[in-house]
Amino acid sequence: MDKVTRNFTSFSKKYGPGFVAYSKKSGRVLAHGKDIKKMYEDAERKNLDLTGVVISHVPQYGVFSAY
Amino acid sequence: MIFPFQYKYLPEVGRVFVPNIKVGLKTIDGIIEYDFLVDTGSDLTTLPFYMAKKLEINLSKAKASNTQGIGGHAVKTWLIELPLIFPNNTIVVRASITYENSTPFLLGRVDFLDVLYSWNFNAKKKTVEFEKL
Repeated sequence: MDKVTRNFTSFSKKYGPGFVAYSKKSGRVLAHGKDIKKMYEDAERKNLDLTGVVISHVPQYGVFSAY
Repeated sequence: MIFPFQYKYLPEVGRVFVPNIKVGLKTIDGIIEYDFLVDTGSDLTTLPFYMAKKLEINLSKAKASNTQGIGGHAVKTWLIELPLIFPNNTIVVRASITYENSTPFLLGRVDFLDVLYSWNFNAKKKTVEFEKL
């Protein structure tokens, strides 16, 4: 069970809006894209092992979300 | 099932709680974890279009429909069955795949909140808690 509290602000500032694949261990972003397909293409270019990451949507920084 | 609160910062309002939880999906690359937004306002668990390929779902065999969001914007969707993988449990829910690749991963109410679990947002413990009925 995930026990880590994360702050997604830094992800939003740098990569939002879009999707990121971040390392489960370090929290570092290893792949990103403007949409899920582009994120997967970035991950494939980098030969990323996806079992070691979490894939997350990142909203645009400074914009309110309503889903 | 218990998940810690996640946060983001908004310039006008400060720190905002984000109910993101990690959910595993069985994909062609193995079981991958995704951050799902626990969305009590969403009827169905929702995924972006490209995930159909990653989940090996043949959308031509799925029932097509429409989903409407904020502002009345409607998007084509397909209804699927989706196993949600948690550490000690797998829950199969009816879900929708949208015809867009920018859709966030949303955890909706159908087959989960209404029949299997209560969803508690515990502000004291700073946890999202799923309590089995």
